[in-house]
Amino acid sequence: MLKWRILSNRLNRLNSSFKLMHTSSSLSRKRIYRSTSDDVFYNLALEDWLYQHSDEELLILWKNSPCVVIGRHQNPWIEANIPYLKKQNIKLARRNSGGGTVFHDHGNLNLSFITNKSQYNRRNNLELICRALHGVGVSAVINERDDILLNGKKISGTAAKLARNRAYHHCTVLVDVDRQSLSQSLKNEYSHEIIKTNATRSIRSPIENISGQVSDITLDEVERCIAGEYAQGADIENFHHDIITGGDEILEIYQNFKSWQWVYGKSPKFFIEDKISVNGSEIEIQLSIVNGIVETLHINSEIRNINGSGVNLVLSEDSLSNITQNMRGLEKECMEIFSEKMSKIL
Amino acid sequence: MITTLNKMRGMTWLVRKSLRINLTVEQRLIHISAVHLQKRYSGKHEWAELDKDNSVKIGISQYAADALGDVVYAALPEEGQEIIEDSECGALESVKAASEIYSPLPGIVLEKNERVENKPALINTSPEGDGWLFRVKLEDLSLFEKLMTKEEYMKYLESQTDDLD
Repeated sequence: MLKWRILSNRLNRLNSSFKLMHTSSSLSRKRIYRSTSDDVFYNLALEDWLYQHSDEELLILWKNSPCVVIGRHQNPWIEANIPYLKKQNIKLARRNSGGGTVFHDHGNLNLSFITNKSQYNRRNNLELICRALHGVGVSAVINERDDILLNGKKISGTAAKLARNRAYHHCTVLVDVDRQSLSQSLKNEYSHEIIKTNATRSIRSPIENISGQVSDITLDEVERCIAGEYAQGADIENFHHDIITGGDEILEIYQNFKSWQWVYGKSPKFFIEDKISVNGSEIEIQLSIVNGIVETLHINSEIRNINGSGVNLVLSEDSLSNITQNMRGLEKECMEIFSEKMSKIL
Repeated sequence: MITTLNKMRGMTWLVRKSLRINLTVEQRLIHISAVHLQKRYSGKHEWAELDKDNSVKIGISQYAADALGDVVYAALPEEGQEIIEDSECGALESVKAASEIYSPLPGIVLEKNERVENKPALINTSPEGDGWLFRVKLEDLSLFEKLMTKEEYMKYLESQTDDLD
């Protein structure tokens, strides 16, 4: 039976643009959920909540408004063009699964196959997608890196998360994505000379839209084919409206996915190394950043521990603001924290 | 005569009892040191090794490391973090998949293996040696003894693969 709960205003606003429709296959305990929200943070939260709270085999389908999604252990400053994202109002999100950075917009279909750990099988899922695509005249193949290719170019990226009992494999299908926006968004702004880290790196590959081969194909059509293949004969036109009862829990997960601490702060420890001109002379600066906070500052050959005291730097207020400006537009919050700590020390 | 015999029996009993006590102490000593030398395993393919100071090193077994494939990133729990048994405390990334790390034993993290953080491939080359993940302070030693010995774990692995057939 449907259960209604009083949701917070925020969730109401989101939910008013979101309907959860599901259909179940009579052949096996499988469900297909289709989100009509295009908020990347909400969709990530929905996926996470269903992964944690359901014990069924699920397929979730959704699309996002323009956004860049980085992998769990990546550094956004080297994976995406953050100033461009801010200018274009393109969101930046970090997902819980591994893998590299991807760009989403309304021309990109997201799929998430959620199963028990023992049923986790990426290859099967990708083959299912390929079968569905063959049915609409798209001659897709799978390579050894679990990418789906069309004429040698990537039309799908894959990532996964595995826990003890549950797992999910999610992937994208590029139907008709804005390629210019994609390449601008993923152009990394800071060279690897400046940012040094153990974070996982994306492997860039040439991409292609399905619309390149079948020009009049729509995302809805692709979605229907894949859902049909997954449901194996169940009547997928009979969608039932349902409301997820875990409203507050999804909101909590949503807020975490949206937080600076998760998106930027979760970056693995990294170092920023640069030479900048201060007071007419060139000095070498090295910052180490852990959990998004500047931990140490190394100037020329002397290490200053930010949390320590007795730092003897011959730098004026102007020089300090020069340093912060010269750090090539790093995330504003990060630099504000840095300036705050520096001005306490000086 | 009978009294003497009884006395002798009594004495023998006393001697035997004291010998038994000594043996038990010895056995106990051997038992502790044996436990401290051993690695124990969980059914989820994690191992734990008890150090003399009762801290426990935790890692994943060769079987788990092989199943993961090449590890490209290790996110380990931080020093001072409280680990709850059987709950997620870190992640290992390999082949585009982030696999959660669990600890088979609860405790406070004393140390994480920074070598593995800098060189995650150690988990593949030496998962039960240099590729250890972190060390916890274990309060209840009996929890350690509940884990499987190496022999038990190897039998367990065989039974798992048999089931797959």
